[in-house]
Amino acid sequence: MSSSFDKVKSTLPYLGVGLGLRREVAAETFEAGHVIDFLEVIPEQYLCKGGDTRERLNKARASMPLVVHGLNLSLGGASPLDQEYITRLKTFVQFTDAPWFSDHVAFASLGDLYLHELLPVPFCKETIEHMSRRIKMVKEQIEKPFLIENTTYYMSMPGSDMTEPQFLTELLEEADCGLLLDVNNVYVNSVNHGFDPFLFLDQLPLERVVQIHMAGHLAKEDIVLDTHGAPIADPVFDLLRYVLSKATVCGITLERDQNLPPFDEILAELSAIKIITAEAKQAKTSLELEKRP
Amino acid sequence: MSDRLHDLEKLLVELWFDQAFAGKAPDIDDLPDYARGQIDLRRLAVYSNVLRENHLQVLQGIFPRTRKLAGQEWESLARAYCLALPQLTRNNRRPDHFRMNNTGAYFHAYFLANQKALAEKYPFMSDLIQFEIVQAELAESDQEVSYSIENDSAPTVRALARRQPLVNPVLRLLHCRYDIPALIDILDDESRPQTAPALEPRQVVLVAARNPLNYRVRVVEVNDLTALLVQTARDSNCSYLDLVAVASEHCALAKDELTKHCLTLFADLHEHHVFVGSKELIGS
Repeated sequence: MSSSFDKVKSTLPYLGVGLGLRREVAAETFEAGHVIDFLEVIPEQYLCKGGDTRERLNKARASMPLVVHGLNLSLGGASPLDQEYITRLKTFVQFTDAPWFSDHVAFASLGDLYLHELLPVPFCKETIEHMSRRIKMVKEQIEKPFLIENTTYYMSMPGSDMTEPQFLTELLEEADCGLLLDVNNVYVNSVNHGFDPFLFLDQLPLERVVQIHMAGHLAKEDIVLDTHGAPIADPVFDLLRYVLSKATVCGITLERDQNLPPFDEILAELSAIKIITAEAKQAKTSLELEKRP
Repeated sequence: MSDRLHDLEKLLVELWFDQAFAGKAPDIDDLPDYARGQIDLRRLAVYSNVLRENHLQVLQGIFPRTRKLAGQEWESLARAYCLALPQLTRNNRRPDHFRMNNTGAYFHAYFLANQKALAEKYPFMSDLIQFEIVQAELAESDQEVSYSIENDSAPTVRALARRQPLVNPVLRLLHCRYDIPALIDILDDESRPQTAPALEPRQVVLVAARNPLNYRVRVVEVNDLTALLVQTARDSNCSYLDLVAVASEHCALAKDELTKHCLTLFADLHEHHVFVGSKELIGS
């Protein structure tokens, strides 16, 4: 890693295995604080809100470490960055004391029109220039380490002339930020666009991965949708094992947004991720011991 | 880049929106040269579906009972509103992910202006829409409320003159043409027949206020005089005694009886968190 981000990453704490905080299971989440290492909060769910929403955030902040994962920056959008949002986001990141914050490689609004979805961008040099400029502006203003997340794309965008790994690699280098690697998104895209997800991972600068997202998806007739509404599929666990064998990360988050199961099932998934994490750590330690003269 | 990216994003959003909310499938011949041959129309429809579902979910979250009332007509109503939304929000409060309720902020005005047939079929739907958006906005309001319990159950006239009621800032007064709480009871009754509820017009005034202790929004029906007093207390720095004077202009009760009546009313307003405390008037 020939960047200043390696220094930044080396200062970040190891948080462990965490959960995306959701209103519907907030009470169970706080009760299970002893087995959840950290929480990921979505700022848009708390900005400009009081009442029990604010109370939930205060409780989360008092319970365990938080990381901030935003939806609204619209980094790939052609419309100007929303300064009001960035100002509020900065205050929010400071309030949560999050060691880093993240958003997506996507656009989410067009002018005054908010789209309620993360939409893909063309994979090309021009997008890299456009997005890296915006990422640098965000980094400068928020003054915390920033990660971008690889997203799903169900259609290739006109104007794309690079592969996704080429695009992400150049964007990460140009913007000099970290990667929030959504392993489920890699799997979903690999099925929808017919590529080998392991080869895909080999082409990414995995040393820039700070956080990993794990989630479930929905396989339909001719497409796989990233729903966060199902248990994590086995191939996604396999990809996690693969990434952890090659990279050191600071945190792994389980995202579950729909079809919420009994909370025990969520805890069981967290436990499965923890086992894989421990095995990867063990394997790395053994390897290092073997290498010693 | 920004111009080209903007053109592309604009084109795609238009195609997605047309397909999602107007059911208009894109015609490949209408696409600009740079996009022709590069857009997979089948995959384009995936995003149209996702956008439609997400928009409808947001609206359903804000208007659960309106959706119940509209039944099978809900989807076409919501789709038509979503299609009109870009126009409605232009140069206005824009909906976004941290102000999700803004997505429903124009629904009432849109309904009144564009949904005459549905308004005739369900004359109480307009009131219900307004009620639901108010509830959603109050529930999420970031207004700070400092709450204190009133201990003085039998204040002197002097005390009434020097103290001012503090009105809950997370409160709205609603004037409805139908008894909306009764309508909600009907809609929430799962055993009711799936036909349009029969409801006679009845002017009601509702006070919706968020309880500062448990954050639940509670709705109470009030009479015109109470509504006037709440409004007066909210809009001016008046004492309790000033409110009694306002009441005397609209009520034929004898002075002592009126004061007693008002004291009971003030206690009720405190109990329902319409008033959230009192403060000493400056110079009193």
